[in-house]
Amino acid sequence: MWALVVGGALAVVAVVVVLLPFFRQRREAEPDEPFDPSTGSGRAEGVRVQREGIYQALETLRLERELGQVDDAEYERQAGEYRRMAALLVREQERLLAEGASEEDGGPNDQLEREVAEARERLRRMEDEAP
Amino acid sequence: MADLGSITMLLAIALAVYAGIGSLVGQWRHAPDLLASARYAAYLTPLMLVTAMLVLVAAFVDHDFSLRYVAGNSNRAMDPWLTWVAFYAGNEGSLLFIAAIFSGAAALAIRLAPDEVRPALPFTTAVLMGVTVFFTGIMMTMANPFYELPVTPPDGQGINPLLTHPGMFFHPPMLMSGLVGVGLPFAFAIGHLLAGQTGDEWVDTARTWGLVVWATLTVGLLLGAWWAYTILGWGGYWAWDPVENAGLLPWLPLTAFVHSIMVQKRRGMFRMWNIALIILAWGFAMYGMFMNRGGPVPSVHSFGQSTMGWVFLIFLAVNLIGAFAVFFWRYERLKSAAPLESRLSREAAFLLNNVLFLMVALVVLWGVVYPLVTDVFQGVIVTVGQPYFDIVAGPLFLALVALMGVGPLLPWRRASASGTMRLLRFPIIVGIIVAVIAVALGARAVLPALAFGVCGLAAAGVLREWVKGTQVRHTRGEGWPTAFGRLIMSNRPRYGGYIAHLGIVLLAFAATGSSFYSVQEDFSLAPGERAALGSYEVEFLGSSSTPRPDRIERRAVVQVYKDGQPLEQLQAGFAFYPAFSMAATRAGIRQTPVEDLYVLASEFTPDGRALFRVHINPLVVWLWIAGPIMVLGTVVSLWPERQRAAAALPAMRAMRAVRATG
Repeated sequence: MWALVVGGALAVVAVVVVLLPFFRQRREAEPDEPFDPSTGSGRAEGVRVQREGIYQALETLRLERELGQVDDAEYERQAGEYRRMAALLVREQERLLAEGASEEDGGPNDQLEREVAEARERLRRMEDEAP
Repeated sequence: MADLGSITMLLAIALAVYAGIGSLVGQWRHAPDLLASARYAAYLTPLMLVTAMLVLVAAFVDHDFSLRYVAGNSNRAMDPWLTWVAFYAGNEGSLLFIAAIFSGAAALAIRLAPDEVRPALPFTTAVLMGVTVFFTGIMMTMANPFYELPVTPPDGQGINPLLTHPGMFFHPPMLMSGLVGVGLPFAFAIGHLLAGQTGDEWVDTARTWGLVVWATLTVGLLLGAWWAYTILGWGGYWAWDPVENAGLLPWLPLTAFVHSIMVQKRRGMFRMWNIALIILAWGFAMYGMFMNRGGPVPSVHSFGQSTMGWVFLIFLAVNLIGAFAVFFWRYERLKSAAPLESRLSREAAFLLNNVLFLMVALVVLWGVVYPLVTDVFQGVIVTVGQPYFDIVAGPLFLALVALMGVGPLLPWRRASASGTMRLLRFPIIVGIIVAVIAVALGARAVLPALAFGVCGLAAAGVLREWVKGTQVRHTRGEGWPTAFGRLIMSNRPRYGGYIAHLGIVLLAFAATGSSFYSVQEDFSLAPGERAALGSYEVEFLGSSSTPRPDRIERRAVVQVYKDGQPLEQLQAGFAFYPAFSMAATRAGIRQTPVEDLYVLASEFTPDGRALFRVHINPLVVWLWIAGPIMVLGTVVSLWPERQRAAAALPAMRAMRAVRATG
């Protein structure tokens, strides 16, 4: 009998927890926002992932040059390509920022603007570090 | 008690079904509340299954023999410390364990999913819940651990004697977790394909889970080897048994995957390869489950046999067909972001790595299914044994170890021939020196000398990377220890991987030594008599017989001498379980870094004599040392990078803000 009581209580708890999202006040920007490939969010995320990948690749390339795995000429060729790719991605991010701003009635999103500014700064540093 | 177990299993399957369907419908109808509700259901599923697990463990502790599963896998004489082992000793308990561990890992994967995989998360959740529903469903319908007997027996049948080993506390759980865990990176890969996200968003998450599962599976396989070495009584640790191979098969494409995914992460290449590798790894993992639960090939693991193999076969077919259908559906969008620029590059080495791992997998698979093929086409079962695997798979493994030494030294994108030769000079010289030393120490045959040389080359490749990297940092003014520590921390995936590579080198080193230079001999000795093998002598001192409630333990005590000097006493024997008509061997092992002296006492005659088999197995201890090193490497690889994570946070928030405004 006690097993049925405990089992029943677990069932009630499960139902309550599962139904909870339908009754609570919804905050903005929930991570459960359905994905719509036609919006800019997916593209923006892709750009960010690619950009991070390029920064990491450049760091590894630097280490490889220091370890003697890549000569200076090859380093320069590859690093130049990475910088160009990073610049393209920053521009793409700026374009997405502009799209976000036009979709929103107010000004551009502060967080995203900071993000793009950070990317620009990082790109500038990369160019400064180039021999 | 049984009722509570049944209720929680019912709740678990209901929650998993709801979570899977709710995710898909929520995605389709753009219903965030439904998606959140489905996610909560996914979190609750493991809680229900863990409750069912606890109920079953409590039934074992209480000796509740009204449950068929408890009566079939324990008895009152069973040592209490074996309760945990008894819990998963049969199909029913092991399926419950698998369902619980997978649903728990799935809930964790959903909860910890980073922002870049969230758009595809509903599809990933649906795949994860599909797997959970399968295991829970098959358990409830075909192997219910809470099935009650019409008449409660006074005592149970007892636990399978082969499972009464400390290794059984960890080997089956690790192996089961490793096999089913392949479903995690698989779910992320298929979830992203279904969502139409054919880029690199899933790569980091799949790599993380892939590495966790890889380490789990590796440790599970090594613990299985240790169990076989100490309890099966044949003096070896790997017999290419069909079920051992079933555990190895997913490990091969999974190992290729955790390497190949780095190329996608770095260069956006090998997208098709990575999807195909993880599908194959999952397919092989399912095949392993099938072999364990009623597969047609006999094995030492036959304690897990049942009639449910065909269900696993159907599930395997559905998974493979479905996954490859989605793969071909998205085929055009899976093209690499960059071409392979040179055959002399890191990418090319990774490509060769993938090919070699797949070749080994195919060779092993062919060895496993060959008896079935001959049975179907010739009407006679012909099995292939160790020589087939040693001859065919051995050189491929050796090539992989060699590649492990060369690949990391090659730069990304392209390398010049002269530059490559300069980089490889040191490892090649070390490899040659090691091979020469091996020959000088008695490795007269070509293959073992070559294998030791290749181990030297691979180890030297890793050491060169560490030494050079530390030197570079040292020239910037860092002290040597600081420079080394910071080098490792500067690129954890890379240097953690090198640590794991050293573990693999040790494994290859041990396998070479023990495969080529093990010796064994049988002796019948009376108390006080001695026998010699190599530089060892063993003296039979006497034997004892100890009756236990469920078994009779026979032990022989031998004194070991080396070069005439007494070393230590070893106990070797077995425990005979009358209820199973089965004996569990306990070998007496003297382990040193150079070799194991391995003594088995297989028979005791009425005149007081004992029949011994004595082995000298070189380098085996390095196998057991390799495991923790590989785990350490995995941990270092996975250790979060604080700065990068912190830098990524604003971007994640920004993406959420974009979503909210969109």
